Amino acid sequence: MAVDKSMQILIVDDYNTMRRIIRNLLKQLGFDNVDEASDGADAFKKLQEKTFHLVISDWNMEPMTGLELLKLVRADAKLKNLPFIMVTAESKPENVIAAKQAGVSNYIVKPFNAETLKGKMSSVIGEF
Amino acid sequence: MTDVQAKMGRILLKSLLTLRQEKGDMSLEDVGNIFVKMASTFNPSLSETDQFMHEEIRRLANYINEAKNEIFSISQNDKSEKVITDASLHLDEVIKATEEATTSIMDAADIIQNTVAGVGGEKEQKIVEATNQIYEACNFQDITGQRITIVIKLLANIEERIAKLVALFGASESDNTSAVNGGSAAEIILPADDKDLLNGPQLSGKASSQAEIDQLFASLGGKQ
Repeated sequence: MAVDKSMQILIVDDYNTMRRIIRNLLKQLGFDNVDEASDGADAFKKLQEKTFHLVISDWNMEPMTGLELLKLVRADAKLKNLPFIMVTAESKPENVIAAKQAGVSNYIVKPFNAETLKGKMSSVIGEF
Repeated sequence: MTDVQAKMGRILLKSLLTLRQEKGDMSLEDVGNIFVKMASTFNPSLSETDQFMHEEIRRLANYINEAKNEIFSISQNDKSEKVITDASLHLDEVIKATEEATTSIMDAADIIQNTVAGVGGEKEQKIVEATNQIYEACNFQDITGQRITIVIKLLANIEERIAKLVALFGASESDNTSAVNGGSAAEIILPADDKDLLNGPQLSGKASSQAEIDQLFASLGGKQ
């Protein structure tokens, strides 16, 4: 099935510059419907208010981390199946294992480029 | 247990009990004094073992004394110049400056992209590709910011540990103000939960590559 590029994507990162970079990469890939949140708590609020089809989240944020957000999402009846990609500088094996156990859909290590993002998105939402 | 070990054990236990009875509490300086007393119980002229133990215990006592002086010296410098606090503030400024610079770079890339939009052909394609590369290169700001944050936290940790050592050696609270100012030390001690996993970017030689992460992720049952 073809991927609907009008899907709603939520970018979660405490660095404004990083949110902007991911937004630009998504634009390159043809995804324009993008919202932003500055930490896990902000993101969870937005997820309750509006329908999203993919979350691309940083891990290291305060007050709520990306991993905490992921756990909240997976524990929520309405959101539990929402595709969730972790984009983070936390590249130790124990981090990947913790994220996988929490139910992450895929994992990207910073720094990354459009090609990597496309590959990981494809594995989660389908080829495009 | 050798006779020497038994002798040392008895002396140490007796000294600790006496000290506890006399003072109720002990500092590292007190422990150093115990070592000095212990050294005096070994007569270097009696045997090689006594000579060896006498020398080793004397060295331990000296080591504690030197450490105490070093810590007081650091503490005094911090008090007058707030070296560590200043270093942290400078690093904070580096984060802010790189964020501002990155924003400016991306603003300029946006202007170039908007200006070239509609020109068409190979020229537009090349310019858009180049500006996209500029955007991707701006990843550095996030990574360097996280690395600098790690250093700031380490500095706060050092401040806190020096404060604790100075307190342990019996300094008054007023001598430790530089180390505990601002409450930063308390903030850097992460609770024992998911946050313990947060280490920030690893050094390039030690960091896992995307390929290694993919392999691990796949071994855990995930899609690459």
